[in-house]
Amino acid sequence: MTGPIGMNGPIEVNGPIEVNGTKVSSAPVLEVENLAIDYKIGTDWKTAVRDINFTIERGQTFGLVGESGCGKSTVAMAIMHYLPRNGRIGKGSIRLAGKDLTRLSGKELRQVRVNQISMVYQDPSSALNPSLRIGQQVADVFDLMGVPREEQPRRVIEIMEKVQIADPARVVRRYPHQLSGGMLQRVVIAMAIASQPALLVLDEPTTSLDATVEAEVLDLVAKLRDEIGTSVLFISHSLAVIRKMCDRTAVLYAGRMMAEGPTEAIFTNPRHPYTVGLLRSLPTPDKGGRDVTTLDTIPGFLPPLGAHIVGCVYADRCPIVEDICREVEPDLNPLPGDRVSRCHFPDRAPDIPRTVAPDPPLRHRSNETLIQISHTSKTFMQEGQPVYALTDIDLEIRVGETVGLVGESGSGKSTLAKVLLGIHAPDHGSVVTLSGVELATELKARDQKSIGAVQMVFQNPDSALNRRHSVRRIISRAVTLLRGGGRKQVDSRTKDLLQEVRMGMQYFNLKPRQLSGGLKQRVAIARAFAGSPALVVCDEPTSALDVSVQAAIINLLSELQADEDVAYLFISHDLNVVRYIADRVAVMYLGRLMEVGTADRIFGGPHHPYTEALLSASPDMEEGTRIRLQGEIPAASNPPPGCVFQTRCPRKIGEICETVEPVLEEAEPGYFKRCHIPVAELREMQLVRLA
Amino acid sequence: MGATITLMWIFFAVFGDLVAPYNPLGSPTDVLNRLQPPSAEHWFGTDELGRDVLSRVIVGARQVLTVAIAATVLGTIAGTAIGLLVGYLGGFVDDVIGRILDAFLSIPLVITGMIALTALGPNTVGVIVVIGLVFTPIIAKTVRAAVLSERQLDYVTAAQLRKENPFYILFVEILPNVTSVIIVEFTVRSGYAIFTVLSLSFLGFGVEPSVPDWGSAIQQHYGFLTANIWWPVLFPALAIASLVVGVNLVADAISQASE
Repeated sequence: MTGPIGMNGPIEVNGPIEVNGTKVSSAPVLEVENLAIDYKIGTDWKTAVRDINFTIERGQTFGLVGESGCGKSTVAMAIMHYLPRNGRIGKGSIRLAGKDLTRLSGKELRQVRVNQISMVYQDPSSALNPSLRIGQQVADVFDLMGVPREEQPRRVIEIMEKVQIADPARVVRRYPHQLSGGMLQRVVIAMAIASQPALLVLDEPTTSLDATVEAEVLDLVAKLRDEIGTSVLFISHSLAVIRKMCDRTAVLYAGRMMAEGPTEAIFTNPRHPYTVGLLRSLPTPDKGGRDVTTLDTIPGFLPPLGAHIVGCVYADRCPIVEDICREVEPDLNPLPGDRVSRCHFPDRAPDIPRTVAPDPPLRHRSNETLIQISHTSKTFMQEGQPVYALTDIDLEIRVGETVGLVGESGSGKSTLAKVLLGIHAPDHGSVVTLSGVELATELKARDQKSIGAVQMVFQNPDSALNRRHSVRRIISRAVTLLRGGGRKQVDSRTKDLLQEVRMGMQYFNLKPRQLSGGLKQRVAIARAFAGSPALVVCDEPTSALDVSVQAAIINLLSELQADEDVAYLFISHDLNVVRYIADRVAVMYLGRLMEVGTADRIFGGPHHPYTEALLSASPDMEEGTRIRLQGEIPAASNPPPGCVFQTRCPRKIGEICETVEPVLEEAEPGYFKRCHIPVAELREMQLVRLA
Repeated sequence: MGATITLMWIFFAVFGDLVAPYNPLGSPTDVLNRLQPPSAEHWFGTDELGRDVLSRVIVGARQVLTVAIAATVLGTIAGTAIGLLVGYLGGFVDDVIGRILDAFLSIPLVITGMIALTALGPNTVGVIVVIGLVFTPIIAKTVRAAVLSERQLDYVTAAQLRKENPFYILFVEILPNVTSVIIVEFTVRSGYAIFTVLSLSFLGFGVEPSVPDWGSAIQQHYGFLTANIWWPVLFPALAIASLVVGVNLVADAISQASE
């Protein structure tokens, strides 16, 4: 099928763009003016997003950042004209190379989507058809562009090479489920850039990927952008990713643009209280750890969709709110340095007082061993094949400390947690002791007391809380079983727990759906503390939450630890969060501990090569100092010979790595690593970075 | 709309005797009035024994609704119990019971009913039990699927982490989260049950002769159609159609609302 546009071939992106037959060269690629988007709620149309104004120049990357519910994806959908049935563009215009997309017919719109604008979504596995081969799906894009059938196979291979897919001839014959998430996202990006679009819209393109893969994909996007000169609209909740990728950034809140300007200026010298709040709630290395300072939070809640608000939408949560803020909505006030801020007092933003007392709670640390995991392995049988999920883990957790557990997905972090909790029974010969007493491997065989002593906070509170039960029932049931006592005692303990997680009695009889994400996680934390636990496993407890909420939850966990002397095993992929909260850190790869030490030692270096790679994958890393991991994590059913990391290790020293598996040795007092390279040599290798 | 029709028939089933203009069982003098066409006195005409068709249609709702609802309740309770257990236990139990359920599902409904009723004898309780048992595997499958997806959720793990007993997990944690599925299934199955009950009574199963019943009314009178006597057949048929359509509309509305 040959479309009329296809006969013109792909548009010349470096040359002038053709608009209605006339050449326009200096026009911006995308101009969004006074855009408002309405959603139908019940029978009424309510304005969800309004007064959106921004311009993307040729070759520029523009970031939209904000928390969930701020409207960033809605704006992207409006630009793509993919709004759901109950959504509509209420006002304003979206001009792509001068042409107003809101006025196009269906046919014209399809042509624009084929040739000028492409989108990449968060989840690559749902963007591809599971029943078609990769090659076929990529070829379809060329088909739509009108590339003759006999040319398509060559073009498919070319574009796959462009997105750095190794061995494209093999990949094109695969089905989506046979490829990893990172590989799929490359395929989706290949399809998006096939037409060399004038504008590429990326909606959270790396959110579902591991940090190491995220780093690769971001590098790729940056490289392609420079090569084909396309403009990019980059949407993300991650401030670090936006900062790394974008030339200009707009901060969205409750469907309004709060600030817009050059990215560096927005991040280093924020001039809107909301931006200030967001940046302060992020844990970063320069702020110091949890014993140095608390994290600042943004109190209050996002107003509900379509709420009628007089004045500034942020007024209820703003620390420097004045009477005028509640009466008059501020305009996007221009500031020096080509930026705007929707605030009456942009000059006061830098001096906003903290919303949380900066002094962290004092805690008593002890060197007493709480949990000792020794020689612990876990082998699953999958279709008759053994899968080595955990291999010979030795780890100590002390009373009242936080051990951070990091590693890519598939490294065995969750399996280790489940072995501790008794959900999975480890292999024969594994020993886990709690305060010197051996713990039964199976949950069934544990008594109520040791079950109450080891509890868990899950990643996603929506899944962890029974949506049919009230807050009261969720917590009191755990109290009844793990602590016991009469009705009155259970009731008063339940109320105490609710207060300990800083929730008022007004939530006592509500159901989870009536609570915000942060409140739900508080309920889950209260439940975990029902039996006065000695250890709480926190499995990514904040990764489903917005940054401002994350800060409050991390503060809460710190306070609870100081009050109750509880130890945490804190699993997270966010290294900054781990660095902030953890006393000691364990790094896992392919079911093995690669490095264990104090947080300062692990983050300060010299690092195990795997840790070094994890650290340099973090998006807030400086350019030029990073090392990249090639390839994918090997299958746990067939680990590589020698050191399990040798297939991807950038510091591999030779044959010994391929033949002899290093042991987890105590290289310095309290510091363990599994690597053939001595610490002194690692220091030398990493000198560039450490300096 | 669906609810109005359904509620109307439920009302007739309960209060039919008070609403019906004549005694649905007839009176000794009726034989003089055999097969009268619809008139001001008998809106729906009279049947071969001279009984008022309107009264028998109204009171006939009782037979079909009682039997159909009792059968569906039975099937839903049995199916839910099996579905919950199989879905929660999984593994070997799921494999074995799952295959048995599949085997039952492959047998056609009305034929199973006829054979079983021939063996059991054609009484009302027999019809209820047979239809209930035939529905059990279908409902069990649906509930099992819903339980399987609930089991993946962390609140079940959290319950296990406080050593909750399995019955509490099944009936207090999981069951409330699958009730909407069960309610939808119940309404949809009720529609099928009505149809099955009437098919069986048309074939002469499960009804005592004098009790007003739509299925047997059609069976007794369809021979008269050739003589252009349509009213004793058409009106019970319309009653069946309206009730089945009404129940299905309600089922649609419920399943949409629960999504």
